[in-house]
Amino acid sequence: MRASTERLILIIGAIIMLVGMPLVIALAIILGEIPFEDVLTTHPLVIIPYAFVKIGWGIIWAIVAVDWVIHGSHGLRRVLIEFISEEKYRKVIEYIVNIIMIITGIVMFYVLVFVP
Amino acid sequence: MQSSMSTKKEIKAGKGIMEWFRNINIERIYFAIHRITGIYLVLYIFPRPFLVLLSGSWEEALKLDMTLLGKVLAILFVFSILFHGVNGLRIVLIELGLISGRPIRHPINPIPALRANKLHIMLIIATALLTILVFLVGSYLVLYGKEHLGIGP
Repeated sequence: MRASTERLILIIGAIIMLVGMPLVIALAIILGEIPFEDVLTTHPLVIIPYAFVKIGWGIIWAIVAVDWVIHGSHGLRRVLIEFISEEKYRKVIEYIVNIIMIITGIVMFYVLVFVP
Repeated sequence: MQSSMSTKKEIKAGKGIMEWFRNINIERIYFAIHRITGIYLVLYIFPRPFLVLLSGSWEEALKLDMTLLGKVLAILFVFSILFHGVNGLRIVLIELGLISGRPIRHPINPIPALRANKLHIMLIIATALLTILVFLVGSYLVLYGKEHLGIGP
């Protein structure tokens, strides 16, 4: 993959997450789905998925989470590749990280959409 | 021959973790923290769907987050996601050329030609302040916040 394409994927992924998560929580408060006090008094790992589910955007939450996986995989690949000088081993790392990304992405989507 | 060997050495020297801490300045420190927090986020998030799959439900998987170890890991997660997110926004703005530096040419002295603009300096400070402030609130919520919210009417 060209470095510029990789940067584009990373940046788009980052923007989706940076904008998506605060926006959904703000919308949930504005639409009255979650009381503001709850946002200020709840564990962050509970309130974020709760906000997505409450405004009926569970599928969007799944997309954001898969985007998290894609962004993380690209970042991980960039870090790992820095430690390897030979091109053929870099290719191997690319394949391994891509496989991890695809499997994790599918499992992430499945558990967010189908697991209660 | 000698020059190609020295180039190889230079390339080798320019790789790995020690490179993250070479020529320390505020941006290099941010770069290193950005990388470290990114690695932590991957290690924290990637096993999560598999844990849910193995335990069979989110409720069971989230029980781990409510233990002391889970809370410590969640506090590190809050710090990591805050710093990585806010600093990432700064990096995106640099890459898009919105807060790029301006060149300064000195006629005699070989001073660095690029100066950070005011918005960039403000963003560097804002990154640290925002991370610290929201981290304190987030850590408090992880430790003492509500752990259940009923979904449904």
